[in-house]
Amino acid sequence: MIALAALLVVCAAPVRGQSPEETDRRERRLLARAESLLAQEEVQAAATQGAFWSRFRPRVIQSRGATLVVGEAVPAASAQQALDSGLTLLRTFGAVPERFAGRLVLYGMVDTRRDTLSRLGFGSRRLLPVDVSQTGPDSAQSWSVGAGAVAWARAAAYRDSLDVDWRHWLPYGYAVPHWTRSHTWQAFEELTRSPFSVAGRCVAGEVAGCRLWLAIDRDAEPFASRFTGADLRNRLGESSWWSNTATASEVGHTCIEGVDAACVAFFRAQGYSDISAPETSRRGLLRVFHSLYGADAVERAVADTTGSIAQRLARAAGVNGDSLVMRWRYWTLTRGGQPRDRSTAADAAPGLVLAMVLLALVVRGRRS
Amino acid sequence: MFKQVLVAQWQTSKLAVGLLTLLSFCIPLLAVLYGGDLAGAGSERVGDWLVAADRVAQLLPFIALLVGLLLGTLAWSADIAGRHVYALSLPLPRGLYVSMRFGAGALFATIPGAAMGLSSGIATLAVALPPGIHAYPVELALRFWLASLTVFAIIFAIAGASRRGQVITISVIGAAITLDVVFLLFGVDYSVTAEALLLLTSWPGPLSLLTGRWALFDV
Repeated sequence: MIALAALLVVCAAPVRGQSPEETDRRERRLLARAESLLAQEEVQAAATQGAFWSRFRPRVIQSRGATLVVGEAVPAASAQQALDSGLTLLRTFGAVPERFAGRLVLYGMVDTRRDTLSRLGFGSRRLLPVDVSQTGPDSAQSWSVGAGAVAWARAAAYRDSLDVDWRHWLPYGYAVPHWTRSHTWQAFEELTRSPFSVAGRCVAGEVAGCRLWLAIDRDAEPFASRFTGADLRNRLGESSWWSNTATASEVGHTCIEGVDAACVAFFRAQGYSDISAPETSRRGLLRVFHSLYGADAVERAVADTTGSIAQRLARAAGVNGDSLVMRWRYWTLTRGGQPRDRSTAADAAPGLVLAMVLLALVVRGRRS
Repeated sequence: MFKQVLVAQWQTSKLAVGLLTLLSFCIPLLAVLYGGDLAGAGSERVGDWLVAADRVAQLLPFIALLVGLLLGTLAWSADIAGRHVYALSLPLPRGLYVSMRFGAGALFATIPGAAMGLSSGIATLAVALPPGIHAYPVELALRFWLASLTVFAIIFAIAGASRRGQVITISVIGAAITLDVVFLLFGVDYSVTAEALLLLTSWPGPLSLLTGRWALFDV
């Protein structure tokens, strides 16, 4: 546009030797030409903008009572697949009841400028954004929704709807059963390399230590029972940020000088989590629980709102809380190892039976 | 008669038995190389030590497999080399002869197992374990012996089977591999061999003993 305007100015300047009539005619012609070009550009811009916003026109995908609204740029088949697979992922783990799916509407890459979503008539259902990922170069962009993103968004919403104990304890993404070898290593390292004494007690086989590490009981004084003064002082020494913050406050200073109560007060004031185990350890406990007792038990446990986390898990599985914790300890320290539930003789029995059968065949047979 | 078969079989198997016994004796001792006094060690060191002990343990099923494989094959090597003339010349029914060959091989398979039991005992005595960690020397030796015996019996049976039996065995394996190649060519994400191996190695599969916990020191 600027270039066009400059061209007009240059062209419109009176040229020496031209008559005034000739100049007027030329100016009018150029002006008409410029106006026509401008109109063409406006039409083109409107078309481009229309094409841009058409990608955000809502498309409603439904499956098993769940709804996903995505822009038209996301292929319908891919969105349908993401919704189906996301629901299957959640059902496989059992952490989100199916009826909960009907209470939500997930949306992503939708034009929300003119209240589009509420006009689609979802009533009182909660609207929840979901990640839409973009791939490919500018010339050939494509958009898609992942099953993991659908599952993650639903699980996060369900987690937020639970009682305070679960909300405090459950890590985000707990319901997406994506667990790799690196997670197993991470859970192992979290437990064996933790500076907290409860982790050491757990490694040494003390059930109470493991329960404190996992923070699955309702402790009256979570900080004081899960961390010792020495633990918290060690934490201060681990990073310059913590030590600077501590020296800057009076309570922190008192903590460094060796007063345990001051350490507890200092960390609590900093909003430091009162759960000793990091997220992967807690996700690991849920994973062990799921593999031992199944998706139904997970669903029952998460829907339970009575008692501590340990009591809910134990009730849902119909087992003793301590035995569950010890299974988790074994699983974590052996990096996913199966407990020695069967005796060596029971393990060997099928092989020996087969060997005997084969041997009997050889004894009866003839070489030919 | 068993003594003669034992002596004859020893001639073909002694080198393998010797090497396997040495290997079986040395491997459990490797776990001790990572440290002996863990009674008062921090959880970080205990963790590292457990990982090292676990890595050593991963070698053991392979040794058991090797014991069974070698002894099972060597049990028949003299007969195969002599085209079974010696066996046929003996005034013995085939069943008794096969049982003797099997008994001799099973006895040889006990030697590496005993060596493993001995070295596991030494390793256990040499380590001061922290609370919560246990040693399983007897269980490990028993597991090793039973695993090598199972593999030995299977290989012994295949090697000593009739030609028809061997052809059937080889054909089944060949068919599984061929199917895998066909699936691969058609882009089918399924492996017959992998599925069969999974069935064989997970309980109650006959080789499940090879895939369980083999750690001498465990949680």
